[in-house]
Amino acid sequence: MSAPRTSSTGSRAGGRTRAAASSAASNLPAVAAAAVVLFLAAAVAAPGWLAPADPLGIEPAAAFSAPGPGHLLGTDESGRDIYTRIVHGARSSLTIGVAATGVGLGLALLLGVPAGLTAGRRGRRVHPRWVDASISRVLEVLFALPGLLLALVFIAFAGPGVTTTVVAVGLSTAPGYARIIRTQVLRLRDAEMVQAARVLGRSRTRILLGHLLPNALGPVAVLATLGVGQAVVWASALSFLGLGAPPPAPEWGAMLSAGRTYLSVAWWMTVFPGLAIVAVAASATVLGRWMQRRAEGVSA
Amino acid sequence: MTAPTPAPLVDVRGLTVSFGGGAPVVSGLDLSVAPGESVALVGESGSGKSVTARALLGLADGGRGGGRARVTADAFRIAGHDLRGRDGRVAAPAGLWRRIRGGDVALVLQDALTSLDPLRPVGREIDDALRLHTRLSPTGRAARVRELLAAVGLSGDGTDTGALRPGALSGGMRQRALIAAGLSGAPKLLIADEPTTALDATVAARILDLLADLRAPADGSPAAGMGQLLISHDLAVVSRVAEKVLVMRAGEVVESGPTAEVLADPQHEYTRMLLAAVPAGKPRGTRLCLPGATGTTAPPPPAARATPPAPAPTPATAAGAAADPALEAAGLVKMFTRRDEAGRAVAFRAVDDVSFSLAAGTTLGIVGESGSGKTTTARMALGLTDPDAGRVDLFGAPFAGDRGDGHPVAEAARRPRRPQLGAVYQDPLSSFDPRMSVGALLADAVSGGRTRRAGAHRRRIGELLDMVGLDAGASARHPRSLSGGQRQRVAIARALAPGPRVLICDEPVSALDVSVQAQILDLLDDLQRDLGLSYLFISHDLAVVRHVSDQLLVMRGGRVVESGETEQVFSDPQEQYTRDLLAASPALRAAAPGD
Amino acid sequence: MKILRWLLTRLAGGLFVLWAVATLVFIGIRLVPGDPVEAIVGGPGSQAGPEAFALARAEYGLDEPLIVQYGLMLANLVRGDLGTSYSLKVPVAEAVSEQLPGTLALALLAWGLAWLLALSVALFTALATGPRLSRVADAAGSGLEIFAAAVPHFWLGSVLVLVFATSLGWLPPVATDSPAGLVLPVATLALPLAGFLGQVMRESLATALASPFALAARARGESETGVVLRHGLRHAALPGISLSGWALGSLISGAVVVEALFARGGLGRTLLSAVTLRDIPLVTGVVLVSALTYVVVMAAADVVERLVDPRLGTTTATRAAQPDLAAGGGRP
Repeated sequence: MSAPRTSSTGSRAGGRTRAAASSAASNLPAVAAAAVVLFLAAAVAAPGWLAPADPLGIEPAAAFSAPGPGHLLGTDESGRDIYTRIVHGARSSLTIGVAATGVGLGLALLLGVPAGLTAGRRGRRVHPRWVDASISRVLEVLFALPGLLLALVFIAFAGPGVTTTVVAVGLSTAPGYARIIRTQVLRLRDAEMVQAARVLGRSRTRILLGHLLPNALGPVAVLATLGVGQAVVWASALSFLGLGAPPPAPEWGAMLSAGRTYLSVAWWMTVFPGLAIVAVAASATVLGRWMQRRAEGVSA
Repeated sequence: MTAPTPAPLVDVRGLTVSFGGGAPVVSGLDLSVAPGESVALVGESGSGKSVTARALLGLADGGRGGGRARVTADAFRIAGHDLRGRDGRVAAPAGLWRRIRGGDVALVLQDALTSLDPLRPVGREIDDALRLHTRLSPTGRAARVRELLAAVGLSGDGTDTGALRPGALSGGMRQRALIAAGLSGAPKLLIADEPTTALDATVAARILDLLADLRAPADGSPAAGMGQLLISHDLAVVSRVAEKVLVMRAGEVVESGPTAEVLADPQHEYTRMLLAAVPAGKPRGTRLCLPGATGTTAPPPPAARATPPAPAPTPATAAGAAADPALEAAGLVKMFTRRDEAGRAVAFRAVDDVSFSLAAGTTLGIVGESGSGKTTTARMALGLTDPDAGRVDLFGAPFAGDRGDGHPVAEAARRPRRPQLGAVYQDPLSSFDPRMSVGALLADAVSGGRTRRAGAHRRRIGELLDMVGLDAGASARHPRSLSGGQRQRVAIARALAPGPRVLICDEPVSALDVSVQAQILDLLDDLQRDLGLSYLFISHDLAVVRHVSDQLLVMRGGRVVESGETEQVFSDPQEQYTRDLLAASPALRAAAPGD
Repeated sequence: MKILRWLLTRLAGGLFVLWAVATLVFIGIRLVPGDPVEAIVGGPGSQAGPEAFALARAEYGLDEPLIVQYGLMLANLVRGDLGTSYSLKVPVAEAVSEQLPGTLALALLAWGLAWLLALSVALFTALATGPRLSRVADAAGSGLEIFAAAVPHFWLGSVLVLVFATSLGWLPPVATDSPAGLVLPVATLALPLAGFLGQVMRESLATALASPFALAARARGESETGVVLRHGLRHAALPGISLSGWALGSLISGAVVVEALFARGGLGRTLLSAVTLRDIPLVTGVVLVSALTYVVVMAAADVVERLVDPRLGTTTATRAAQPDLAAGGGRP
């Protein structure tokens, strides 16, 4: 119903101070995150340019070299340069993360959009209702296998490997995305903007493609950014557990797993690949939230 | 005034507030409130009236910014405490502020929905000031909370209202609870910031009565009476309760004095403009904007320059000339389900047997409080919600609901006729696709959705913008960067783009300041005359509806309570509910001094 | 009446989820290429002859028609019989119930620690008033949380071992039964979760403290500490409660890694070896127990959430699962 609204001058003061404080505190991390992303993009596009050495090149004499001038981040048990391997590993780690997020989002769109379009609300009946009912049920079941559980079950069936990792991580993230997309579509479907388009005589298809989906996908882009970081962490966890990329491929999780054996003699084998993962996940979070704040600022 | 003038509760001179080194939001404000006196601070949004209220309690920055707000004054005495520092800044130790807040001075914030903690029982909120400002025992406090609830009229029918959380209370009850929370510290001064703004008229009237009652001193001595400072955007509300009024604009007081004097003989141009803008008591067709007065957002609508929309056929010029009514509804029914307390779905009639007829070229007003079913009726008339029974005809042909053979009109059959019917909503921004500029919105509407490039229809877009009093440059702007009034003009331009003959306006001015409201109402009036439009005009505001409507429909609980010629309904209401509504509707009382 | 109705709905929902999970696993294993019997007779590449395969197939009922196998599985499930592990050759129920308490203890301790840390940081940043201090505290809190949430369990565990066990020698590098042996595993499990919880709690707290009801409380003379504790705390805790289902997922996933890392027995390790050996009955068993835990946790979280926030309507599972945006570090 239409309760009259008044513009309030009240919260303005508080909002302004908060905004000022948060912008000052958030610009520096955003810049750092952007730098990390640029470096990673270069590492993915042209790893040889950042690290010309061979990531698989064995140099037994230099095994377990500590970080120093020769080997910036040290070497592993076969004398392979850690820095080179991290740079070259970016491609596979990030590809897995991005691909897994893609799989997750793709599945989520397939589930979330129809569910959102058919969900009932405000006592109005929308058909066919069973679509949302059954999709919601499926999601409920998937939610009962939280975190890596679904991924592990999938690997138990399909066996370990890179492709399995991508699908498994994608599968684990899909229900969460699907629920958010459903809510988003549902919200937009009942939005005044869509009513206005109907009053102007637009067809359902045109409203779906011209207004609903483009507006629903904005927040999904934010989600995807936030999600890539988490997918990289999860994929590397699977590698670490020996269920992902097989050695000696320069994949960050696998490098960590190998380094763990030599933790007491060569800490750098563990610490640096891990820091790479942390940098990716943290940058994704910072960038995602920055995008989110911008989007909120725009819609406010 | 009584013989021994008591020391004022508020004695502030030259109050100036600025944020983060910016331009002052309030500058040079003088204010004094005596015990038992009611003073009103009136202004539109952005006038600095709420900031003033907060600054009196040292909360200009919301209480957390810690120094970003700069508050200075030439004199600053609140309830006997001199809080002006040597450098002119208003400052006091945190402990003293806390004694004043809630103890000497209570602030009742606007919007009771968000000003009560949704997770706490309201009794606890009322108890807060008792805990902080009295030495009562917990049982004593509990008893006092019950007394306070009774005092604000919240202790009916045996339920313990204090144990309920705000979500379980209606808007009026929340506002009462909030006032009780303000009263619990036995303040000498009550500051109420827009206490009735979000409320339905009948509820608002009772809240104003409550505030007036509280001002009467308990023991009869004038000095013990509670002072009140009322912040409002609504001159009509103020005229009802306040003895003294200060009119604020852009941080400055432009006029002040006894309410009756200011209303009867306004000295400042801005006050005159505000008074003229109030639609209450202005006959249909009277312009609300003063000639030559500069609007705050846009020039007055250039009615003379307006060109009729190209595709629109010239409709009947006067009411009754056309054979068919522009829009006619018969026996509309809409069932909704809601959950009862046990969580079961219960069907109820949101709209129950509503019929009306809108003659071409005239305006039919629908007035009702929230939950009356007026918006659902509008949605059915627009063909957005299918009625469960009844039908809607547009120019004599079925448009929605039963098409004559028991089957509803299909959207596909309705779509080609949609250009004849447009809509304007309360919140224009949410009716726009957030990704589109003004030009894109209009191009989309002009082209029937075929393009969003403004360039393709530059001439027509220019015409539309001109018709609603915006210049062509607005085309490149984004609606977000426009003011509320400008946005509503864009919304009207978009509604006009397909060349409709009927417009359904659902609370089109409810979110606007009164001066902007006046501009939009004048604009709608001009457009109706120039283009021969018919309006279905929905509002909760009796004064607005009276000003714009030829015919009137009063709705309550989904049913039509009363209908007829607007002036007849107002001058001789047949139903009790209509009379209540009329009595509750605030009207300027300046004409009747001694009131 | 209302409670009974709620309980029945919950129970039915839980049973549906368990049935669906069991069915999903049953179908999944039959869809993928490869013979499950391989796992029984010693994993891929085992030298067992066809007779051994036939024998194992008969022993585990894998020679029956699919529909009979499915019926048998459901019937056994109802009786609490989860089948026999291929790799351990003991009843799955036995293996799982043996490992459950250790993992539960680990997870509960970590959960508690995560809440403690997250709430402390949120309250600390909220109470740090004054223009400069609050900004610094905000940035520090936010940075810590983003870092903690981004840290993978396995790396954090390794680094903690490196610092506190290998270098300083304060704590044992592997899990032991002594309380000292629990410190590192619990911390490893708790910190990333605390990072996530902290982000949503701090944000929710900040929103509450900037809202009109907080201003109203200040206008009544409440001190800032009073506002934070009386009003803010509840609002801060709320998203943490509704994130419970998600937190459980993080704890289970984390337990798999942490138990492997610290050579500690438990469900996680059992699951990992079952997945590696493709021991389907054992995987099913662990997954069903986790799903059951999830159902119970969600019901409990629902009750607590309703106590804190009676605004909540009738939707239950929906809300619980909603904060998945937070799984990516954002806010629901």
